[in-house]
Amino acid sequence: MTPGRGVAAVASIAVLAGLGCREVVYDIMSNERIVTVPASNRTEFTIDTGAIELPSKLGTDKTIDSSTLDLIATNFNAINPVTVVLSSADSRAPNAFREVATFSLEPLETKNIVVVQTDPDDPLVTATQSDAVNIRFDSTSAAPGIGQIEFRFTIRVLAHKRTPGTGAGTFLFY
Amino acid sequence: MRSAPRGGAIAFTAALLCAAGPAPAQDPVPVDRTWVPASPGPGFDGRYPARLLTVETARLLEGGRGHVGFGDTRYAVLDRRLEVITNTISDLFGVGMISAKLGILDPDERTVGLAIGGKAYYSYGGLIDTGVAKVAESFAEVTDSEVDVSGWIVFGTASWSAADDLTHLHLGVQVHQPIENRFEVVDSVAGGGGSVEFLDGEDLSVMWGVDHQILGRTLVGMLEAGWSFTLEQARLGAAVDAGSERWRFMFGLMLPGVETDLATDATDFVVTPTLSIHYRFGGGR
Repeated sequence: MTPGRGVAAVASIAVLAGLGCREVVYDIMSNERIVTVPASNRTEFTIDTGAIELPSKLGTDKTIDSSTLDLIATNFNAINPVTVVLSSADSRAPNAFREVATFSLEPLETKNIVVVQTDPDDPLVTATQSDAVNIRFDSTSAAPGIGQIEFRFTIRVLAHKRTPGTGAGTFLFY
Repeated sequence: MRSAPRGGAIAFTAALLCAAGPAPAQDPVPVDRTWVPASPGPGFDGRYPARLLTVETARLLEGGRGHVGFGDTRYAVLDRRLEVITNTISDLFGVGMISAKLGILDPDERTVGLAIGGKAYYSYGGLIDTGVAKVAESFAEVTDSEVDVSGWIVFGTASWSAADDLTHLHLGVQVHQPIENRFEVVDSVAGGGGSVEFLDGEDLSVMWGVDHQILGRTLVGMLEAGWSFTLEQARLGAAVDAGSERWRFMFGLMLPGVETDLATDATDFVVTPTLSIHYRFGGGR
């Protein structure tokens, strides 16, 4: 057993003292990701983040109450507006992107877009239940000359798990 | 020619028989009793154990006496009336615990003894914070962590002796109300993080307990059985308490076990171990 794992094992024992419940609530937030579309003469540009692992892999035994994507998008292009289609995929089907939101940015405009999805079939919800999330941005400009565009975002997941019949940890304090 | 040896054999056999059974006038042959701990004094004999696995009995220690060690630690502030108690294992891990037990009816003076008490616990950091941070490091390189665990307990126990006076019976009611059970980790470098909160952990249990002196106070067996009405679960426990008058070791197992669900995978422990090693102090031997 490596020292790290040894300490982790001790930690697990320590954590036992805090347990004892019939419901567990999870609030998980990714770190902020920054995706940049470089300036070019093209009319469209597609870029994705690659796999984003959430701080805790929730697994399928939890019920996701909401998955929230909090995005700040800035179009640094002073001439052309741009339309962005935001989609997501999960680690179980990494190339199967499903649309999450569509928005437009005027020249030099910054927008804060918050997408909250709660239905189990919503793309963000299914994505955040897998091991990793991949976010793709499809940017389109009516005229040649796209970018620079910057996307800064976080993903937050609220979930819970009912644990009827458990709660043994509560007895440890007696 | 043959009678002489036969007579010698009879004499030898008689000598062996005599040697096997010392004459009444002789001093008894010393017997090695080093495997038996010293006989406990009256103080020790009277009021032990003060606690089973999870059930505080109606016994309270005599004034000035106490246990100190790894696990159950207590001190009798008022003779047979008031004890202050903590659990040093929990204290060490980072959840400070303080408890008071009040003797209402003394089981040594009445047929049935009665005690009530309360307990409060509150996380202060320490090992539990470090432990959670180490677990979180499997998800992020550098993390800050925070553990918020607090709650309170009240209990009441009636105790009485069986006819043989070696067996003591206990009937207790326990109420546990967790106030907060929250673990939070934050990636202090890259950002992000998460929290896990455990809700609805309150408990109302009725417990039946027995302690039996298997070998005086040297070896005491303990059993617990009960029902948690709020969690709708049976509770069971068994333990042995062994040692000398001063040093005691108690090890037991409780059912049900504990399910952890801090991170990715839930882990079930079939049983929950309980441990106490303590030194009994105060009073004469």
